[in-house]
Amino acid sequence: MTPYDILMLISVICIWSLLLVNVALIVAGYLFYLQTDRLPVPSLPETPPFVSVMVPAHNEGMVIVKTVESLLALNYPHDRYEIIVINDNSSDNSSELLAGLQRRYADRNLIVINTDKVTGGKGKSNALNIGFAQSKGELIAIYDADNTPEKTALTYLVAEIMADAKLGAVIGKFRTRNRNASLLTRFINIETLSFQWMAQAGRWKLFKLCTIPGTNFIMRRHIVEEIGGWDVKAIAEDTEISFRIYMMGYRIKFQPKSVTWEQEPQTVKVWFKQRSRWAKGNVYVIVKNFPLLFNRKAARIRFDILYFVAIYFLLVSSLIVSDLLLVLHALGYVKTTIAGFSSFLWMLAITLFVVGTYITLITEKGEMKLSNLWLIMLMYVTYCQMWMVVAAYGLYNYFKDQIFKREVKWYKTERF
Amino acid sequence: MRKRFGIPGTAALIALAIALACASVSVRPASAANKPPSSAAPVLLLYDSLALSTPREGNVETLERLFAAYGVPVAAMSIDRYAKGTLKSYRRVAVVRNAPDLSIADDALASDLAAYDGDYLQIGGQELPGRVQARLGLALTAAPLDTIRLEAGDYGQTLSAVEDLDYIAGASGDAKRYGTLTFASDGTRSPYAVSAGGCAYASYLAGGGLTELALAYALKDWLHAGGEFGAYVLIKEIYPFSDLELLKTLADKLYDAGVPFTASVKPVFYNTDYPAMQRYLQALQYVQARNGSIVVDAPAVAATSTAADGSLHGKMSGFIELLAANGIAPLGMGAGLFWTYDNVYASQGMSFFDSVFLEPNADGQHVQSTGTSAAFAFSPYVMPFTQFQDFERLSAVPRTPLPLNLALSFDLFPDAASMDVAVAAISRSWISFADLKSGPHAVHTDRLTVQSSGGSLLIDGKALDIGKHERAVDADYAYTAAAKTSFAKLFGVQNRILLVIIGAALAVFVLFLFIGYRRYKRKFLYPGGRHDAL
Repeated sequence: MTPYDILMLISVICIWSLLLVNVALIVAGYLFYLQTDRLPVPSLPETPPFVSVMVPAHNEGMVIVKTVESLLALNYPHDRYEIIVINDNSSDNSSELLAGLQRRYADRNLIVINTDKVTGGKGKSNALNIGFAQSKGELIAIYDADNTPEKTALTYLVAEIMADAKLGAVIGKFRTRNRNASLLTRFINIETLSFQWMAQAGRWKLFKLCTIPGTNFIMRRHIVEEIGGWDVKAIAEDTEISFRIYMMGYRIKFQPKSVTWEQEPQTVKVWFKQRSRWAKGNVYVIVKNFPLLFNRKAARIRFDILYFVAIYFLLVSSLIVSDLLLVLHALGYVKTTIAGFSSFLWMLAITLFVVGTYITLITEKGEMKLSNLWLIMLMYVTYCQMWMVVAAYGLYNYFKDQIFKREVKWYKTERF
Repeated sequence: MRKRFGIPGTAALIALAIALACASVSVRPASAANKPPSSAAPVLLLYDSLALSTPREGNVETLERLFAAYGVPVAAMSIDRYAKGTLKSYRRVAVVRNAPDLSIADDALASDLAAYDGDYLQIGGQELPGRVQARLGLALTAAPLDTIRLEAGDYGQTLSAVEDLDYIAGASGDAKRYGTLTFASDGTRSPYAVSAGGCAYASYLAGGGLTELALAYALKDWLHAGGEFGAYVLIKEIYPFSDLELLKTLADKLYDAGVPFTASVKPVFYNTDYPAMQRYLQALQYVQARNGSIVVDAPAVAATSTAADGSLHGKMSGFIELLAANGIAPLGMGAGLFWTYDNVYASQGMSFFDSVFLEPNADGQHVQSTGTSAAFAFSPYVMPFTQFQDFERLSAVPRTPLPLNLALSFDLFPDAASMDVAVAAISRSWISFADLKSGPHAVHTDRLTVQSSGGSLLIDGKALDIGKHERAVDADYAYTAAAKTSFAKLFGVQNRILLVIIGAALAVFVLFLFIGYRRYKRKFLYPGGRHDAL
């Protein structure tokens, strides 16, 4: 037995533990699907609450008009919601486009806040804080600037949160609008569906926990006020605010019938940039909230903290260490004598991954096709392996930022 | 003649012992029952030319193999390299004259031959020592290019376009005549060879034809080789990766035809525990059980082999012992002639055997060549069966005894069809084939002795049961030894636990898949279903 064997053993245990956790989440998520599919969404109160729909935008001229128009077309009573677009230090023609929309829909509650590099330009959290300061709604809904929500999306979110006082926020589902654009977007489509039914629905079913996804969610105004708005240092402001809502004793529920469609990266370069930013943001949140693991008041969210720690630290480092040892062993630099699992077990595990992902896919219209099975298999050897690089790069960037004290600014997904 | 040979014969045996010692060829003495015959005194073989690129090419090697078939060591050299006085060391000299335009009248050899009184054989040419010419009463005539029919023993063959042939126009009355040459152009007939009183002359020798057999009749007398000779079937080119099922079928067919045979099997020195080797050994066991005898073929010589390597002895003895351990009794060896002219091969690779099937040289490579060949007590002359088939049978059934031990060889057949054809040809040949294990043969290694006698096989004196003993060969053989692993027990337990968990999860997933499929159809495919797309 060598020290490398110990490292390898730890890595293998981490990888398999997470695999088992994810199996449990898929099972729970699917049971939640079977349950919610039968149940109707709660009804809106007689007097629907006033909702502020906030859309932070930075150089989103290409998509902002479509997003605002789809928000204007929501079937929620038009006089009971306002749309606040925070056009944050944009250098494109967003302000003109938004002004045009304001003129066209002069009878609607459409507010446009234009900031410059003095008043804004400090990232999504800061933009949301600016928008929040001008909002009036008792509920705050947030959509990304590249979203096309379905007409019922907001109604379902409001109805759900109003039906249960314990809910601090309700999140909806996001789908890939451009899923047929490239192989990458097909992978992303599979990933988002699988992730939501596993990580969101599964965690809700098992632990009554969800993580705000950054778009298509609603939360109570007083919660935002109590937590003092969004953490401007956080890139993953959604994950960050989720923890803060939990700490206040509220729950975050997943309502899969509220759907928004969003534009996903179509090239690996854009995807890599976006995902490594998310990874870095999540690392920030984990580091910030890690002490909660030892806080009795945070007992309910320990699973979530552990889950994030496991995904972004243990799994990534385990995969890197085991892959590195494998390569070094093959090159003869490192001697490992550790035993391994049988090939049959590995084969079963891969089969499990493929079948598990496929059953989450066929909950959605148009996804039950054989080609998706091949895509999942291809995804296993390509996209999933790329995730490891993304997560590792995000981790590296986080520590680099900490060392060089880099300021948080807008990191947005490039449009095409 | 016998009287005259008495004392010199004993001297010749002593001379052989000295010659072998000088040549540093350590050939294990044959067992008492299988000593080389009295003809084992060495022969000095002299030739004027190797006749390269002519029909006679290879006849010197043929003659060497013929001598070897009688257990006679040979010291071969070109007449050009003959050193005066060399003849004094020999009591038997054979001269091959392939180039009539080269005269030896002024050479040192001519003067030595004039004083030489030992046994003398010449093939071709008209320059003979006076004593020999007189003893044989030879009248030689040069024949023009012609087609000649040769008959020897029970066989005949037409030789096309023979040139530079000196035929025996006349010989003394007491000279024994061997075979007949008939010239197609004018019907002239002459004996193929004559011999008398230790002198012999043959007109012509070309490898690959009936002249090999015809000369053997004369050599038998010239070398005073006694005893009965037999014909053997020799199957060559048998490797672990040969079609072993075909080999077994061949064994069955020859067994059913009542033909004993000998399989010359390639040795294996490494990875002898592999399943392929186990299957090889089992096939050889089967062959032995079907009245086949086993001899070990010479290993291929690597271009990088050197005398300093010294591993051949250990490798060969290891293979012999492996065969013995698996109930297989190797009775001899098969090798190219050049092996007998190499100190290393002879001492390290052949010294275990007293019986060797000597084959024509292929692409041989010497490690440490020597001038005198090693000889063996039993060394059949190997002739391809296809060559033998070219001989015309003069009578339906062979009546004349063979002049030497003859091994008719086949390479293991590429397919069943060619095997069937060959087996049918063997059966039609009317030759009574001998069983190798009926004769006395011995193989000695440092650890064991393999012997045969009267049809029985003995290993270290114990009779070998040659019944078929098929064993199952492990198909899951681990080709590389499993490395010592850490946490093996932990992983073993975890493996079982995870198999159960993952298996159960997979079962649940398959159930979900079934539910999902039905629900999907109901929800999205049937008219009136819920459509929640954009």
